[in-house]
Amino acid sequence: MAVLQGDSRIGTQQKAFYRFMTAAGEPLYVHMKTNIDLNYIMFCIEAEGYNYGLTLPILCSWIGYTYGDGSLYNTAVTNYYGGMNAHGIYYSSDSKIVLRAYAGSHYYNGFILNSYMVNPNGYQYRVSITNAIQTSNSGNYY
Amino acid sequence: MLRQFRDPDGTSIHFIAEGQEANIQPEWTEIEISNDPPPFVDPPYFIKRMKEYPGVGDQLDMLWHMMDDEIIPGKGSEWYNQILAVKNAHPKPE
Repeated sequence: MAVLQGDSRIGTQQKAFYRFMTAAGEPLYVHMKTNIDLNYIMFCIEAEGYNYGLTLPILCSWIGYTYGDGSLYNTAVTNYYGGMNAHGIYYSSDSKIVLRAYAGSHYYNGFILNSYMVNPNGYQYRVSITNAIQTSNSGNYY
Repeated sequence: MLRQFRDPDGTSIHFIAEGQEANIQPEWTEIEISNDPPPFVDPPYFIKRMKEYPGVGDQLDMLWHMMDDEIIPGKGSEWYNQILAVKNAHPKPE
């Protein structure tokens, strides 16, 4: 993992802080539980990679702002290359952010996650993935 | 290298990164990951279609021309007229 420390204006980028790979084409959903909690954290996490089974590259992202009262504000998922879609964001039962991704096949799907913790709230937060599962559950798993 | 484990019902796969071994549950079955090169796989039909469809702009232009030729209804609609105004503002060179 490379941690690129920015100055006080550009914040922190973590490049490839998590590497995902699978050989099984199904199930079609991946849930990745992060260590991002309710402590007022603005996050931007991006996936980059190569979905061999779909023959498409991956570039997608999840953004949001966690709030102390359990709210989750200004979330969005954005999908560019089609190899995998950022499908959703939710809180786990113990109030951690979970990223949900979907692909029409995960057959030899490999990607890395990058984080861009550049906003005043959550600035330089060191994001990590604490649990991950490939499942058919399109809702909340954790 | 992620280790992979199947649930007892076989439907879900858990991924365990280095240092997360405490999360491994005794009822999980570890999946052996082969080091052999994966075989060629033909992309699914929806990917092949997606790659060969004309761009969305070209498809909309086809629909506009079908309206213009009155093959489908819509000639004179707001959408038709907005496209027509742009076409008239930038005529195609002869």
